[in-house]
Amino acid sequence: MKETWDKTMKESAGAKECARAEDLVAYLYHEATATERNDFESHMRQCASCSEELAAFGGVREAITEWRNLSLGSFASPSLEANGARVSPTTNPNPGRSALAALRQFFALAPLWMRAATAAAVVAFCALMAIAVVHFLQRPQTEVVEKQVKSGYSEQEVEERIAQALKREKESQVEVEAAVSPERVADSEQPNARPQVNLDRPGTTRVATKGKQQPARRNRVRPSTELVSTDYLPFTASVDEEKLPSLTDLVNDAN
Amino acid sequence: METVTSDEQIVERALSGDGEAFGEIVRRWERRIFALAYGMLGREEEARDVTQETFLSAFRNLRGFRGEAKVSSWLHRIAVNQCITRQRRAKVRNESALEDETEADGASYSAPAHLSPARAAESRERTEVVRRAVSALPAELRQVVVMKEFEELTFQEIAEALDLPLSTVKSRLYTALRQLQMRLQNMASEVA
Repeated sequence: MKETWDKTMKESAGAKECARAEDLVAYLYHEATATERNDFESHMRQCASCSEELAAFGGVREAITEWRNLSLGSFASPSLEANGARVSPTTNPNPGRSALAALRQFFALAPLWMRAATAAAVVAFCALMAIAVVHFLQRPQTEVVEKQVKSGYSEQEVEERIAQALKREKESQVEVEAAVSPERVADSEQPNARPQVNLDRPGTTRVATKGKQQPARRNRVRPSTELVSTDYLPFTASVDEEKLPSLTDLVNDAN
Repeated sequence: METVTSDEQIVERALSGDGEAFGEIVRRWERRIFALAYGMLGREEEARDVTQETFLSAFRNLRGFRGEAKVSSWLHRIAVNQCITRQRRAKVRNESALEDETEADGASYSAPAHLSPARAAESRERTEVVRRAVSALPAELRQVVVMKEFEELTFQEIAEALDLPLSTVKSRLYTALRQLQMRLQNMASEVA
């Protein structure tokens, strides 16, 4: 057989190409119509090149077929035959398979890089979903807090609070003035005394500075922060001050 | 009586959400795609990889299948492209996969049991020569040979799969057969 094959190869190797190469191939693979077959057979009787090539190509085909049968015959089908599935072009051997099983089988075919990429994509997706969920859960709480803060002080409440604060301020001022008005007269006799300010309040002490003509330094302990606002309320008119002559009157008297 | 469902109908089912449909396509064409890949690449392991990648690519691009060509042609085209891509990569890496592992692949052949040891050895030697000759063909010629000889597709089917004119397929096959004939002759002379 080997000698015959080699001889065929050698005989046809030097053959010149005929213009009817495509007809030769169609004839070789039995894809020519009956008319074409008859026509080419009559051509081959006159064309030695085509006859030799047809024989040589037949030998090549035999060799390829032998290789194909030996190689593919020794290999199992890549995956499905191993799983017991039947390879059939026309029938469905396992019609009851679930979509999950089909997907599992499909990914069983996937190479390693594809599986790794899929796993990475799944992890990334899960991370994004977790971030989105956390963000979604935090956002409404913030809004609630903001609403609570806003709703804690209504306009009416603010006005009420201001009114109460003013009332307390006025009351404390009146009480202080009533309690300390005699002392103010004594203080006003001292040259450097602050004439207009009534600084004494409950819980304060006055330091006596006889002979030194120094203003009495306050050494007071503020009872509460509410009093701070009254420390710097000078020129608060009192009854005594109203009795003092005005500057205009003094100028007129001098004239 | 069992009705035969066409590949195109199965693809339509897959597109409409039938999870089993694509598995049916795989079952129908897996072995033939493997044969094509093996004929193109000459190595079993690479042929398996290409077969897997072909169906993965088909699955990913299922919605791009317009139905203008046959499903089989579409799959073959994907497989051929996969083989060519793989060969280009191997060429870039300067890995002549088909040449380097001659011995390993040759050992995977199993000669028919009825042959004597001498005839079995001769058969293995001859098939190895053929494999190397086919592998040495240019890709555009090799794919036509493989599709014709390994898959027994018609010229029209090959033309559709490769998107080539019918006459081009025939002329390429003719050229491939001529080159194989000369290569086989030279190789046979070297062996002798």
